[in-house]
Amino acid sequence: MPFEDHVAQTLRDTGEQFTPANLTELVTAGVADGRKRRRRRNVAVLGGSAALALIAVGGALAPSLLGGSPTRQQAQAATGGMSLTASAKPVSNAENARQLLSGLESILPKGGTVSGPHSDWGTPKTVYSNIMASALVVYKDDKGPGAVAVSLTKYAPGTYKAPTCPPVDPVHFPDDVCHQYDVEGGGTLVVDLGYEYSSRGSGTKAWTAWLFRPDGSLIELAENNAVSEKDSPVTRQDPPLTGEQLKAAALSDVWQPLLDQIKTPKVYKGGVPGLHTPAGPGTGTPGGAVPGTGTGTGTGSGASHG
Amino acid sequence: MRADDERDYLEFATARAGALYRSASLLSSGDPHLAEDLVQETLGRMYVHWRRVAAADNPAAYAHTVLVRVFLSHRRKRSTAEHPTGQLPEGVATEGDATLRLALLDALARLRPRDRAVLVLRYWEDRSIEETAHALRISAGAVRTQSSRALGRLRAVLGDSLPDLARS
Repeated sequence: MPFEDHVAQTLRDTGEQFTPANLTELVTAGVADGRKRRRRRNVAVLGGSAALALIAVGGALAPSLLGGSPTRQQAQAATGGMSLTASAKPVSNAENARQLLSGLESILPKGGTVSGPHSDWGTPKTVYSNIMASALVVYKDDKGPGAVAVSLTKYAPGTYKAPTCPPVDPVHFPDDVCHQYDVEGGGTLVVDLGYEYSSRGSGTKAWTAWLFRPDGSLIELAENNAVSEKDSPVTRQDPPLTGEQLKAAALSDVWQPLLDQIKTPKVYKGGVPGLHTPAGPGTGTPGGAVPGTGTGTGTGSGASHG
Repeated sequence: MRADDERDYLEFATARAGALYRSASLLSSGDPHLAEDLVQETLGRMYVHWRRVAAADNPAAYAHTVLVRVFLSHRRKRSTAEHPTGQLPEGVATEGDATLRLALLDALARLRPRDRAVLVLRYWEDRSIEETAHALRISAGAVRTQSSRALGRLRAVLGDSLPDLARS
């Protein structure tokens, strides 16, 4: 028998011996993965944030993390050193990319170091957005390194809808605790912290905050307790920013000058592909109102589940 | 997803998860955790595009193609080595069979991921050169080259022991 026939036969004999430990759990995990991907995809489609796809979403956030005034204090302290102006004067893509990276670094907790910085500004426009801008760093403090990323996008009004939290679903999202807030001045903030593989409730954590504004702007922040998503070894207990800091970062003033650099696209004449009621399985868990960008204290008390 | 679509998806996923897991186990050279992750992600991707998948000529084949691509994507992202357990499911193999299969899994683990994928597609899933080329998004010539190279490396690792082991 030729060698390759032996290989084929042995492969068949070997492969047939493998059986999943729990088929039901495996399928359930696949469903949970799919629901999460659909939710993330809806955000990407509706918000055009595909540039941030290398950082996952997720969500488990203690309710206590989302309340109280420290939000504003932390945000102000973190962004106090920024030299960005509110000018809408056009600057080069390279300069915008640099400032986006600076903005990201400014919202990181003090006392750590940053490595692997990368930023993009000016990804070829899509039907959704004239510009896709993103930045990524690996932040390291005494708790270990973790990836933190930001994405900014602006859409034609009416061509996006904010995501909602996933449904209360102890089977598919056993550890998900998601908070959704109406933001003063208009807009929606969703803070969702959990795991890359949501149904497992362990492994790489993936925490994300989305802030949508009525003018079509989207700020998306995402972080992991690993230097990248997808099976990258866990390098710290939690991602670098706490839930409170993540919320504060999304609400920070630092992004507005950069959003001002992004021209609002025209409404796509052929309709908006994929625009539909968002967030896949999400039914939402409305929380309390959150003050507008950097102008008040975070007092949201979003319902939690998980 | 609509209720009837979800029902169809669950039926499909339940029917195919075992086969996907077996392929994933070979691709991961016996790492059960990686195999589960690969299947989970594959099923997740199928869920997202279920309507399109369900309308395909062969959703099962499509799922296995997605699995291989997910595997190769994981290999590109993952800097750490795999962790074959060196163990097969209990009570399913005789001593001689177990030795043979462990030798094969060990040899697979030493191959480059793309070479392993070629072998799994060609000799486990019994795909044609053209089907393998389509799954891996490479030319038929590249499949032949990689297949030959993978077999050569497998022979180099196993020596000529495979037929001997098969007879043991």
